Amino acid sequence: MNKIWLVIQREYVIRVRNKTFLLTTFLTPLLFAALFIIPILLMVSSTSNKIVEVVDDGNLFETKLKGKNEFVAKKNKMSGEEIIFEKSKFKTIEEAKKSFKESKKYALLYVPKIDIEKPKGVQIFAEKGLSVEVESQITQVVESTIEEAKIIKFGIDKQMLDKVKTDLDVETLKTTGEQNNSALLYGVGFGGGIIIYMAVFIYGAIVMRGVVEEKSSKIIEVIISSVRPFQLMMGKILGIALVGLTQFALWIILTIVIVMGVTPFLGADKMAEQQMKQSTEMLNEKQAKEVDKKTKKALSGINNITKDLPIVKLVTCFVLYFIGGYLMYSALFAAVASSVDTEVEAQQFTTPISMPLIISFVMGQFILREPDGAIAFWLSIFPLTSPVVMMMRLPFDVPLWQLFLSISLLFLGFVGAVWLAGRIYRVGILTHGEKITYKKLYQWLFLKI
Amino acid sequence: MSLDKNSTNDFILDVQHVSKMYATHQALKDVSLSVPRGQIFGLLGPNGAGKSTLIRIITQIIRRDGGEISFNNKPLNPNDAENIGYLPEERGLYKKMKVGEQLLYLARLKGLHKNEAMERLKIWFEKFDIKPWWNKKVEDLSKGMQQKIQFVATVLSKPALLILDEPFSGFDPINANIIKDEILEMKRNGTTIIFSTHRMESVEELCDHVALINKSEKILDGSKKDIKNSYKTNVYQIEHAKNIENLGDKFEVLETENVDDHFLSYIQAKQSGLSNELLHHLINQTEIISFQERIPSFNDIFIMLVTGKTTYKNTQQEVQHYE
Repeated sequence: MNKIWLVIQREYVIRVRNKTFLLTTFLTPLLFAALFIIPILLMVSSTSNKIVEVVDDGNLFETKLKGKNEFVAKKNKMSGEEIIFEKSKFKTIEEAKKSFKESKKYALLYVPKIDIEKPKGVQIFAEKGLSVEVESQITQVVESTIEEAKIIKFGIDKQMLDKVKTDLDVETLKTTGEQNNSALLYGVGFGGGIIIYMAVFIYGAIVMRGVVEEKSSKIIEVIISSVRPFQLMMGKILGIALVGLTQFALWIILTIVIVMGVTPFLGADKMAEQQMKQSTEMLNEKQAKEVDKKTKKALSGINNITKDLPIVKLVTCFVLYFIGGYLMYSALFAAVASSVDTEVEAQQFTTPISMPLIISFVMGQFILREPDGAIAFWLSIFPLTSPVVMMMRLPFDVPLWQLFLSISLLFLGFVGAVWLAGRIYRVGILTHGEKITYKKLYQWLFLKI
Repeated sequence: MSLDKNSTNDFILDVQHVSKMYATHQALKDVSLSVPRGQIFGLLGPNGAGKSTLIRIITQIIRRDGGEISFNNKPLNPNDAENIGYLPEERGLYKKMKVGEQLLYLARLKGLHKNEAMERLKIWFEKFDIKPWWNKKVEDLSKGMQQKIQFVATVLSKPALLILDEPFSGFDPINANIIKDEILEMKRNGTTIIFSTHRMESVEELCDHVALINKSEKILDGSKKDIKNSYKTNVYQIEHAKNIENLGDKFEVLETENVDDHFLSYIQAKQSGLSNELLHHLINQTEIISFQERIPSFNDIFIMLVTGKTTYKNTQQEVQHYE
């Protein structure tokens, strides 16, 4: 036991002290934080108004222009950026197009004489091609202008119309009365699953490299004349697990610290709005409002996260599935690495081994759409896929018996994997220059050495 | 064939009827040998004979299929690993790790306490004059330097039994001598050393006792002196100026060749202890330039036993082939 501890210590210390580790540990949170902050900075800094020249043969914008030459068609509340419609000096679109090139204006809008009940032939010209965002904004302005003209033409009472518009805010509640916040659940589930998926691969690869290094540097024989191969393998796996946990803890803490430290200067509201906007821009206004509300709800959900999420259960399960999944896969990776001479060879074997993990990641979409479905159920019970899949299902109230079954099987899977890996490892580390096949690995399992 | 005439029964290691089977290949077949305490025990044999397998079994890296091994008169058990130092033929260290740290780690794996290991390391670093290496990464050292570090790693825990597999390979003559002196020093301090090698000259020089393994079996085992005596061939090598004609019926000229302006002859005596008589015959016939009895070197014995070729000539050249 004492010797395993020595191995763990070495594996941990040399990695945590390593420059690459320090670099990735401290730079990654900056990157995460940048993902939050940079979009806001960009929005704030780039405020240039966009001028759209309008050739208005249909006199659609007469009322809006009110005799002036231009009007503000749309204004971005956050950045203050405006889209300005400017009446063209030219009578025909052909003339306007000719001089548009030199005008440095953003776009040229042509509204022909139209029947407002069947509007047709509205065109937008641009030098470089428009952003989808601006195109939809211009379209919206034209549409709403036509709608207003219709209201007048049909003699509809504007106030009446406003009253007809219904704006319903549906709350999703559990029968127990708790709030159910599906957007947030979706996010937490998916996030947890992805983190475990990545962690298994990143730290599994480190284990693999460590084993290959020991083997190729030939130190292995010296080490196992003092330590049992199994102790060495477990020490390595556990030491690297601690490295992983350290790195995750630091990432989370540092990201929180940086985001919290920087956001007050930018205004948290702006940030939230910005995120909403990004996701709603593509939708029409009605849908946008709907999503807008949901996002707001989600954001308020983050504020009182303790109310919405079984936070203790989530964290406990995350740690359990992270450790279980990591130990199981890294034991298998160690076994593979022990049987080959180079990292390249090891890679060939890891692909089939990590298939279940990749499948569970790819199936994520289905699982989140139907977290109680049959696929989700079976994948969250089977040990090789459960770490990722159960994490995704977890926020959606998994019955306790399923959770226990899944964790027990994961534990058995881990014990099985370690046993298997130990058998292969003890033979593999002493084998050099042999061509390894699955058949050979299988034989090693039952070899007496 | 056992030629052990050692009367003492104090063996640090006693291997009895050990055998080992790999998938399709018998690596060791009923091998027994006893290593006397405090001696240097040469374990010889051609490549692939089973030496490494035997060493790995003794160091408990792999398990034996059958047979018994006792260490310090008790059945060998995992805790004995702390008392057995092992320098494998395939050297290796953690390349990215610093020298001092690495040695400390290896020593602690052998059960040494941290402070104790530090003390001993300081002594070794002074002895080998390598203090500036402490904080260097292993990969920044030359191969010879790495070998030195590895040697220190092996002996640091002062094991009762030290197994050295080709300890001199990779060293220049100066460093090889330093290592040789350390080995002899450890022997004086009571360490038993199993010494596996192809270099027969170091066997002649260092070993007290020798065992030879060939094709998975032990074919020779005994003290160096006994072995040498039993392989005496009573062949004399003589350089002389004129032809030799009649030597009587006790001697037979095996071969004569011309060397520059004189002759080189190999003469077989019918029994031992006839050197004076031979000289007597020769003096009457020719001027003698040199005269010596051909006592077989371990090279000769090694090659004779392994290949079955008997020779009375020097086999140094051929041995190179085995290394």
